Amino acid sequence: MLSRRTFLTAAAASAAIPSYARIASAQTPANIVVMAMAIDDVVNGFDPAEAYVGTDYEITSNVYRMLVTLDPEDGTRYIGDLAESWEISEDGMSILFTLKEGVVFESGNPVTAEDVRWSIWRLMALGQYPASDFALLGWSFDAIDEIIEARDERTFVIHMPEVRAHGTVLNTLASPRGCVVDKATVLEHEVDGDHGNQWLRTHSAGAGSYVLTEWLAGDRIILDANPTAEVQPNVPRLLIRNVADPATQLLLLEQDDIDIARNLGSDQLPAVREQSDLVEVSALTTAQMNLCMNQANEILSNPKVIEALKWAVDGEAIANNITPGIWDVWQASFLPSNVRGAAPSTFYKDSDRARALLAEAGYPDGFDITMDHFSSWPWANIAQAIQSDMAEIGVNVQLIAAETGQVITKYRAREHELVLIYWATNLYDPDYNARTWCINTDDSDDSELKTQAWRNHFIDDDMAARADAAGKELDEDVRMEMYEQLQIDFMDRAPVSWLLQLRDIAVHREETPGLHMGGLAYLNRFAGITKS
Amino acid sequence: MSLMDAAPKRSARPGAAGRWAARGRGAASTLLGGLATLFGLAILTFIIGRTMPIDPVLAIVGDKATPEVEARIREALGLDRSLLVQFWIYLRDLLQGDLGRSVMTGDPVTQDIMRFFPASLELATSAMVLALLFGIPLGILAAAHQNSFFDNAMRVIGLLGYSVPVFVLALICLLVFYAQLGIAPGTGAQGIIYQGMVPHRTGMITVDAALDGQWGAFWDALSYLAMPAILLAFITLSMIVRMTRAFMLEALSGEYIVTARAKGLSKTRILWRHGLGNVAGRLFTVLAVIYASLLEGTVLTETVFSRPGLGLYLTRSLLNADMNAVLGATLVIGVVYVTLNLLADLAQRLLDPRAR
Repeated sequence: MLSRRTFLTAAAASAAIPSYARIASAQTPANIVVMAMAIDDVVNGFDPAEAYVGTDYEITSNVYRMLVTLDPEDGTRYIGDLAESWEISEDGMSILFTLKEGVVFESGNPVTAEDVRWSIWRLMALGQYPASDFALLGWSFDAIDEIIEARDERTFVIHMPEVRAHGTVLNTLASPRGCVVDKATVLEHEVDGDHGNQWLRTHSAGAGSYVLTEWLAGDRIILDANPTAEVQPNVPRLLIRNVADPATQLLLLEQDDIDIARNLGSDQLPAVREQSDLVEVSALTTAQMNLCMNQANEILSNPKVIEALKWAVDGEAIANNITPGIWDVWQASFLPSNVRGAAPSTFYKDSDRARALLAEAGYPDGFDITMDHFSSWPWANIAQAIQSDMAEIGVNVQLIAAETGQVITKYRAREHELVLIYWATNLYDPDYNARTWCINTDDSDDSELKTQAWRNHFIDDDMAARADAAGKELDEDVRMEMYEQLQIDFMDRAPVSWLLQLRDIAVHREETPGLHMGGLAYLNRFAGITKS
Repeated sequence: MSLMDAAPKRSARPGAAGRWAARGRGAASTLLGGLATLFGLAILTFIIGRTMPIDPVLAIVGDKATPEVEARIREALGLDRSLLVQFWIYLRDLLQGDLGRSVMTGDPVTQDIMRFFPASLELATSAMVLALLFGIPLGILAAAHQNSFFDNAMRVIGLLGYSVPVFVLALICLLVFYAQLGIAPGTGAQGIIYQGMVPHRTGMITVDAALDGQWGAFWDALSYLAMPAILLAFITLSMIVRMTRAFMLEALSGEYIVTARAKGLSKTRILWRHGLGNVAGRLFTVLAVIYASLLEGTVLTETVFSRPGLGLYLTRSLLNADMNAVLGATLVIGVVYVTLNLLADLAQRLLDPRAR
């Protein structure tokens, strides 16, 4: 029988449930876009002279502006951002930029050529990873004062220290390396000669559509509309919540507690596609999954073995069954499909051909080999699929799973045999990929140029020379022809089997459209998001 | 010689000064033991961190930096020096209260810990309080009704608690109470409208909101805290019920319990005073360990409910070889374990005369 005490307790509890439910049923406010995203990758905040991971790029490119940017409609064409126009000198050794008038930073200070010059000078002075991209152009901090010049308020000039195709220079300036910071504001916050680095990690001083209001590592990022920006966001505040688990992201999206989910996986996307109020948008990134073969291994240094392994793997089956809609099949060469001049996808699974090649190489019964891979999804699943494909041609692959950092550390130390890994260029220009995959001029452990070719002990002097020449060719048509032939030769000779290309996917609620997905993180734009 | 003469003489009891001196020596010895444990922990964590096969420079400049940039960062981190020198520098800074700077957050590790630890403390304490409130009575009742339907039901619940992975239960809870029934909020620590409104005092949002008199924010934060806290309480409760039951079964078979029954004491008095009273000391030791593990080991719950705490901070730092953060968080966890063990030891001495 129900006692009086039990009855009173139950009554109190039932009274509490509706009030709890009222709290629970909150929806996102109309003036805030809420995006769920795994933002654990952010390192050291958002100083563009230091940032190097995807989330950093996405934030900095919405907070800062560059001299030039890639055309959102045609990712291979450059358009002015802060620059109204630019001229290349007759000898091709200098580029003169004229800045737009009337553009101001969030502080109200006008954007000048000196800000542009100082932003690049500062990046080189700090010497963090972003300086590496300028180093690839032959720029050094010691010579930087001769390379960049603020001629007057609106004229900025680059004097190239060595011949380079202009596309490579423009692409570097269109990437987050080219973010222009407000010199006066940053210097106000300089401490112990740090060029404002500590302050800029958690604050912003740009001319982009947003200002960085708050970053709580591992928790949230808040961006507010920059009142002085040329392009005003449709919704004044963007809240990015760190939600690492994709299943949780989907639940929050379905319950209207977030407007956009950024990290849904193959397990969640089928459910999304069945719901009419959820919309999927995506763009191909430049991230490619590949199987690298260390040439220090005697078996893997045999050209017939290299070719056999390229014909052994069924990339299409992997893309369709393990990563549908997330990783597309792309079994081509060192350029991803969305980079200008990319060769078409060529390889497919042909076990008979692979077996014949192995027999020609002197391994009719196959061989034993190890393959390192990341332990997370989808790497472990794909590694097993590759193991199965390889078994069909007699190659016995022993899988070695480890954490991401551990696999990369081993790969960098050249201690792998096979490694399933990825490569993502920051630039759409072919030069970056061609150099890193084809050039290895010093294969010693102390080499000053530890490219991807170096990491696999891959030495091909002919291809190295042609990759370097293509990067210095000023005639764009001739240059593209050079890359076309280089990719074909790379497919024939290089110890790399390209497999898949990553798609960046976002799912938003029907009433919150407008997120522009650019493929590269720094081309994603938030300002167009609307909320009805 | 009389029998009285033959009896051993009772030794003279020490005076008050002697007792205080003995207590002082005991406290100093315990403190030194705790410090030695922490020192050993620092050495062990340092060696593991420096010898694990992940390059710490990777986390700072990524995989594509030039060798020149990498060398400069390596030098700035002091990684080009010998392990012994690195450890000496670390200890010297540690003694000055400087845990270094985290490469992942860019902030001083002390500041990070001040942010992440209160979040863990809030969640773990709420879960522990709930688990204690229900776990100990249920454990006692299960022991009192051994092999009954109730006892078997407790065993099944216990089995569920410590056999089903916590992230599975967390997702099921979200699916049922948040997505289907709509009676619980989603993930995070606060509703959007309250974010940034509560001033930081203790770092525990419910406490800070209450201290500031922001009752709307308090109820909001409490509603977000409820589901992960209840879930962790359930997992913890399973362990507490099991341990309490086992200790009580042992205690209830004691001769003093038979004596108590023979003297006609009530069942309630036998269970709660004589039974629980005798196992309380041992139970405190177990509870201290469970509480400490809750403070640092709730990574999966923190991940699913998007509530970053010390466990998640430590795991993420470890995977990125962010050694200052790893060492700082490990030392904090070490201090928590040592402190809770000391408290449990003290509680056992107070509650159990045999341990004095």
